[in-house]
Amino acid sequence: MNESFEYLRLISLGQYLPLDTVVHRREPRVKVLALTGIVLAVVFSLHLRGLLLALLSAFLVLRLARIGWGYPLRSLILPLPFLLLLMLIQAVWVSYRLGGTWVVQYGWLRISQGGVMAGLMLGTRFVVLLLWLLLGSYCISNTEMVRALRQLLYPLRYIGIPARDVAMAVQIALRFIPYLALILERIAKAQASRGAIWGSGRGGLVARVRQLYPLLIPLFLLTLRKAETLALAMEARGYSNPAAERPRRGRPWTTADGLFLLVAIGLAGGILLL
Amino acid sequence: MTNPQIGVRNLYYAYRAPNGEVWPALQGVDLEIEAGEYVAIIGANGSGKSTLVRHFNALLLPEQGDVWVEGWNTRDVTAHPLIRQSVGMVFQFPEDQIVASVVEEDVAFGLENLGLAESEIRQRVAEMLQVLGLWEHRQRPSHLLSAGQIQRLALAGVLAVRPRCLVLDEATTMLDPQGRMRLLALVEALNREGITLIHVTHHMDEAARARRVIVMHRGRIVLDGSPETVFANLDDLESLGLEIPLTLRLAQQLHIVYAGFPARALQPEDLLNDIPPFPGTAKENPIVISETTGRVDSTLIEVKGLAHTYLAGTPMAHTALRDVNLQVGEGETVALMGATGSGKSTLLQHLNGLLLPQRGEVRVGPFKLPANLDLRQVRQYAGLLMQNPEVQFFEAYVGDEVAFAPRQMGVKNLRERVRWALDIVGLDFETYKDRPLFALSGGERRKVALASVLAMQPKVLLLDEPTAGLDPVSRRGLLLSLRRLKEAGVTHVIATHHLDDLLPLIERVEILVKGTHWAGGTPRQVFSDSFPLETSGLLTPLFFRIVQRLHQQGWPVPWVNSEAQLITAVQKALGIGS
Repeated sequence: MNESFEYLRLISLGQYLPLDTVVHRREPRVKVLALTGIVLAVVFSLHLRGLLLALLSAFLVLRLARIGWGYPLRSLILPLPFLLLLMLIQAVWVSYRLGGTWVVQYGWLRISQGGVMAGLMLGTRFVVLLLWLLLGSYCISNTEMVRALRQLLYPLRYIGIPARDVAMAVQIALRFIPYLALILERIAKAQASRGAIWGSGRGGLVARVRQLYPLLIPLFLLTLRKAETLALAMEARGYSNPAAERPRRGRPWTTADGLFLLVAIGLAGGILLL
Repeated sequence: MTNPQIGVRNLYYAYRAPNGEVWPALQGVDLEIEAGEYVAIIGANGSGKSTLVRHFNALLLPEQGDVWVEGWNTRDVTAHPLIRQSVGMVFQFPEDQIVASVVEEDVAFGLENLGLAESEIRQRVAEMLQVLGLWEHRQRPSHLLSAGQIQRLALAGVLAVRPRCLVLDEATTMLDPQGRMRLLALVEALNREGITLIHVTHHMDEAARARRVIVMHRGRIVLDGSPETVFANLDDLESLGLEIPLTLRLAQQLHIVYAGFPARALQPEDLLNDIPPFPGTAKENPIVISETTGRVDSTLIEVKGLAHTYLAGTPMAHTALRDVNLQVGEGETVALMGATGSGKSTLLQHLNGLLLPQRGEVRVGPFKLPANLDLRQVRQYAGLLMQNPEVQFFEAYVGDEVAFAPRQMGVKNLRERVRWALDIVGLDFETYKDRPLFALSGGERRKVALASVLAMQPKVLLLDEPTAGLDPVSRRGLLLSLRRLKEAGVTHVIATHHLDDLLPLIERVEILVKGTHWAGGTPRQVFSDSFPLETSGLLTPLFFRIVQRLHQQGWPVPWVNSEAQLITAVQKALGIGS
């Protein structure tokens, strides 16, 4: 029975790492545009070659941003079984739909060459997407993200999209992720101090759900209360001030910013077309 | 005629539960606050203080009556931006006020809302971070700061906007003594420069620093005047759940014993400076030390070379404990002290196996960590009451909440156990067992939280800031319970910033500085004037400062730990009484 209460450790999404690197220093809009472009390219890419390029470049940028590979790769472990299952389903599905040469045959289970490829594509695409999104969250702080979103979405006000509120909703959601982990940690510790067991995995399903009860109720209540206080504090700090409707002017782009964006667009093009 | 900065007339406000229940919070408040005033608002938990101040910046709007700020009625929604720029507010739980995930960006939030220029924002943020000692943390994620740092961050975000009026809603609660003094000195300096300061507090000594004290009781203002007049009547204050500031209380009692003592000292300095020279002739060998050595034979808790790093192996790694050695004897009561962020909570959580040593060893009674892996037994042996424990309640009724731990342990006579636990904290079993938890007052909730740990009948009680956020009467009630437990032989380790309250119980003080054990000893050894306390974030408790000063003035009194002892000692020195 060795519990760890560091739920924060499990969450690497939404964790900004304030470093001073060639990636971190870029103007927020540049980073957001570059990320958006590459993520879209990964989503719509049709060939494994493009995805492999995206994978390699993700590793390269992780190095450039001095984050290392271990930290983001660890967060791939949790969804891995789920991902493998998805890959298998995709492979089988595509095999049966398209037919072709069977490469695997085990009882009723048959997978074709096309199916293997489809499964591989799905898995790679998922991993690459996750890596790039993680990279984005390490290198773009929430406030940078929100500021960039506000500036980029500002023109959309003509079609009735409130850029500022959209951006703020994103910001709060991002901030609450690590926060919920901390609240959960605190509650679980308090419960454990009073004899509850966490993470032992004993008992049947009903017993385990019952175990969660005392954890979920205070988590729910606390989250609501925190949300309320946060709303109050934001109001108190003048969030509803109309003067703040217009986004702040960002700093002008440097040559490095321009180059960075060009490389990113080139990369996105490569991923899409290769 | 000039308008007051804040004007409140016939204000009524009530909270409504979805089931139609109504909880009146304010019942007819009339109040005027002029620009530049320094006002303290005091009152028992639940007396309506927070509700009142939330009307000052239009966070709440009156149900009846009106509130004016700088001449604007708060019902006028178009004036809200101006009102909120004018009245800044720091809340009770600072972590809930942080909007951004990086320190410096949070400070900028209010400034961005004003639509200020980038350069102006950057300059004000830097200034605020430096003033509040957060400069080196400016790039850190806000959720990884210590409680005290988050409180300063919340203040920085508000002050950066340069409000004309600052409201602190129990904002000093989680700070260490030096941090509190620094914060108060800072806002008081702003007040001298013309900013209005409104301070909601449970600490009478803090309230006594204001120039005007407003006392609230059940949604009404019952006393309003200078600290001298408000604190003049002990009976009134006690019936309101409050007390006279410690300084004034000691001064009054000393004055009764010997008229040479000042009767009306509100600030510690007033009392200390006016302590008269000893009127008699000093006997030989005047200082009789009547304290226990503070060392007990059998050690119950032993910590050796303990180190702990949170999130080790990730880029967010944060070292909380570097090298801690500690011994606690059986039946001892030890105060764990140190600046915010010095590792007190982390150490406490090692003592009941919530955290396991990454380096070093912990022994608690018969259990050795990390070797001993039946952590449930450890946690039952050493009960931990966490900070703000009442937010972790999950049952609906008092009885069920207290019964949770013994039920997990499989205690047979659950009812008797719950009765016993409630009894120790001074709550009657029959009256309270079926009370809904949400209907309890702040003090009662803390008692239930304590009872729910005591229900395990722990040999060791670990308490993390047990008195924070409690009004004086609730604090006294809590101390009474702890005293009962101490007499029953329970060993206590208490992490606290408020030693004045707990001093009568404490045998040893252990001080942590930046995750290392820095000093330890009897309170007297630790706080004797030869000990440099600056780095520890602590201040010498008032009793000891008085004794030091008495000695300087030739009084033959021993070191004391409580009010009663001090008065008796002075009487003895004068040859009064036995």
